[in-house]
Amino acid sequence: MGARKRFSAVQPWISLLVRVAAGVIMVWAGVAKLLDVHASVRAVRAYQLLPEAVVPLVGNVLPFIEVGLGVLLIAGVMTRTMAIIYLIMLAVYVSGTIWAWAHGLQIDCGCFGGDGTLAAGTTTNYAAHFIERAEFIALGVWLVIFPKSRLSLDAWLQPAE
Amino acid sequence: MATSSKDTKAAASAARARAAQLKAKERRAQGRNRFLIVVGVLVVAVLVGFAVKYIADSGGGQLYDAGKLTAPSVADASGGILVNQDGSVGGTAPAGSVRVDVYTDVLCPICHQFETINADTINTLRKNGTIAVYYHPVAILDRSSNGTHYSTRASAALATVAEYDGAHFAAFSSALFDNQPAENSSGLSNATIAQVATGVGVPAAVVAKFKDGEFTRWVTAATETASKDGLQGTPWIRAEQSVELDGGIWQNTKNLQIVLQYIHDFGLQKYKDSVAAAQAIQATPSPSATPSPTATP
Repeated sequence: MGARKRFSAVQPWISLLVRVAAGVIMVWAGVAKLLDVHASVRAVRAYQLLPEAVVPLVGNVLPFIEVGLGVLLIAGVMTRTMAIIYLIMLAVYVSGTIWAWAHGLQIDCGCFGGDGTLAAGTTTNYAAHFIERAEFIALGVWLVIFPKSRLSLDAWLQPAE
Repeated sequence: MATSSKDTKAAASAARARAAQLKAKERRAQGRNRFLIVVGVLVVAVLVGFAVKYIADSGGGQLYDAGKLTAPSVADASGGILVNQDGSVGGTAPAGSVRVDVYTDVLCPICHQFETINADTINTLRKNGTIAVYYHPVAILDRSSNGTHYSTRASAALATVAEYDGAHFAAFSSALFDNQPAENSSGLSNATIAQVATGVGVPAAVVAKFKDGEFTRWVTAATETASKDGLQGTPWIRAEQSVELDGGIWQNTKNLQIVLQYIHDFGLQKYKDSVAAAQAIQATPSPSATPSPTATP
């Protein structure tokens, strides 16, 4: 039994784990923000990146998009498309953080709730943040390359030929 | 023979076409199903989101909310409640006083620290008319009280006391800091908040108003206004709504007093100039220069 054959047997299970992990990250991020949506608006404002006219809209709507995307990833619906959307969202988030970093802003990313303020006496750990983001991005890239996974609605809707 | 072979071939191709049609139909049906399922999952996701938000907003049913935005008449447009020289609230600042805005969240430990260090200084300067203090009870730590929205509940109670019993506003505010619950606890219960108010002399008729939640929406709105004005964390102390007086200034006793007295005596511009000058000295790499930590004159 060749390595390739073994991989093709294992890959859908790995993709299942990756899919659920990425989905849980998104749902977690969204729910944490929904627990205090006012803080979510302030977190968006803390980046000093968007005009005030759209700050409340983004702060209110973004958590719903995250929860929706997370649920679709966990369910395994249109996995490749959802993984691409997931990567686009991460790209936007990482750009925001790089922008904040470049401008020397001392803020919390507000990724998993909070309003962007740091606890007293702490500074922003950008390195740790970017390492974490790299892990999140790796999950998305895996799903774009290997979207076929076990226990997905995709598999149920389109049985293997 | 030839014809029958042709017939068979024709029949076979017709069957193939039918099969292909069926398959295409099935695919279309599958596509529809897929679409419906995606829509269904999205609807469920949005419902879950709203449910989470609803549970968070209901705060275990403890958050009193009149359901409409009413600002206390004693608060200005920025959400600041002016405490006068005699301890009453609202009205106009004494002529020539330096406007000081103090943004605090009742659940923020450093705000408590700020109060402990500077309450006497601020009260003295307020009473003699050097400064006009505007207190902003903001609720930025609602997520740190197990969903009970302690910051909003206590700030709404503060606004109620400011409106109906202004003379006890400052005392109630500092009593709330003295009884400050730990972050990520459930905060003080509404009954305890009422007890604290009664303890500093707020009449029962005013305490009874807490459950009307008259100013709950205002607390949220005032917090949002503060955020737009630049609030990024509490405590946030500003002079003349333009100069931030950070921990480097207020953490040492007397420093805040010196800075505020200086602004009062020499004006804000002169203070800004001296800060800029001090920073220039610090930025100059000179081994003999002893950089002054702040613009303390």
